Amino acid sequence: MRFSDVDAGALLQQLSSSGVGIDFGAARARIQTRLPALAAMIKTVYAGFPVEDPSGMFDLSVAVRRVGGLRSILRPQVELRCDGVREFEPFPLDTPLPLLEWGTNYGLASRLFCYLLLHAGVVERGGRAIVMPAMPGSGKSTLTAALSLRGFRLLSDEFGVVRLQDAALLPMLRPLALKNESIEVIARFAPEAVIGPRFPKTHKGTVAHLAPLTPHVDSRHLPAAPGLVVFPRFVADAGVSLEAVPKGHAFARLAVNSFNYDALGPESFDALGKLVQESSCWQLRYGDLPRAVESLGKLLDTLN
Amino acid sequence: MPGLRVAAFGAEAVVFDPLSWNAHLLNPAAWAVLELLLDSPRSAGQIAAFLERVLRPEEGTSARLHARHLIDELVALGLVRPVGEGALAVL
Repeated sequence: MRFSDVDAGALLQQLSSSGVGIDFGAARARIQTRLPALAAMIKTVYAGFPVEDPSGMFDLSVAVRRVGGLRSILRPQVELRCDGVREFEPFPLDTPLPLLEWGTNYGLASRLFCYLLLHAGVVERGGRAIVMPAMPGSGKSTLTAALSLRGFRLLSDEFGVVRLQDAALLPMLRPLALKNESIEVIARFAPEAVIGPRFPKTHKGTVAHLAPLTPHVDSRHLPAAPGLVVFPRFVADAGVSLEAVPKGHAFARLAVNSFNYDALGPESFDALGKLVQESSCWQLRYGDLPRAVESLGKLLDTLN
Repeated sequence: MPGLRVAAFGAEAVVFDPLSWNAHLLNPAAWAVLELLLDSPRSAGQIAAFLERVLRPEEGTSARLHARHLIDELVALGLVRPVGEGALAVL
């Protein structure tokens, strides 16, 4: 049964007791919370995901709960515990979903050492992946969201999960965090897209989460072969331009954009080398989202 | 160098040093010299002569200086070491 099919009261009951499991593809997490508002948000942004039995094996257990004590009367907050440990400061009570999503990403990034984890959006079409590594503010999430709503399969927005043995890209499918102007850009780009509540005044500005499409959820165990590595950069009114990036430079930029490249040493070097070897590498400057989507589609088609 | 890993991308390459776990992006000249030394130890003079052959004619006159600079950098990175009698090798 999917989250969209579960009765809201029953979901809260399950989240409050033993929790629910969610399978992202490359990793699985168990989530617990007693917060009714967060349960409703989970139901919206994880709508297409099956509700998993919480008694299985999980890479991460996450609990979100209201902070108690006298201070909570003056300043209500929520905290997140990863595997029972509070690893960072609480968030305001009215931002439980950003805390859950950010904290889960943090927990996964600091625990998964069986893969090379790039900070990158990844989509796929025709079996070939487009890996889009970028620094915050580059327009990566906006572009990844737009591609996922125009016929490309979403593998991930936050993690480019590279399998060490063969450099295949694995899905780590999670709600896609849109920030500030990009929320309305995507809402206009695809009015049918399911976007969760807006959270103003987070440390990243206003944040909202795009629910992955159900067919993408159903394909979350299907890997993709390397195809393109594209370094996106949003530049207002820039149109669209693509410039080839030498592969050695692409390697260096990908390594810098990785969560765990340094920790894995020779294994990550070999996997990253294979990924770059088998990819065509480009710098994309874009100010026109529909044209950028079209250009990347054409570029990917030249490989197939 | 036992365990030296190379990701070659045409004329340039990234190499992984198994001792330091550092990776280095090598430009075409540096990669050509390292490839030469992977084959067998060479003297600084032989490296300069090699660069003179592979560099463009207008750069050839400064090959010796260029070779010295490259050798110094490769040695500083720990990728190349003197092995006696003026020879250098990838260890």
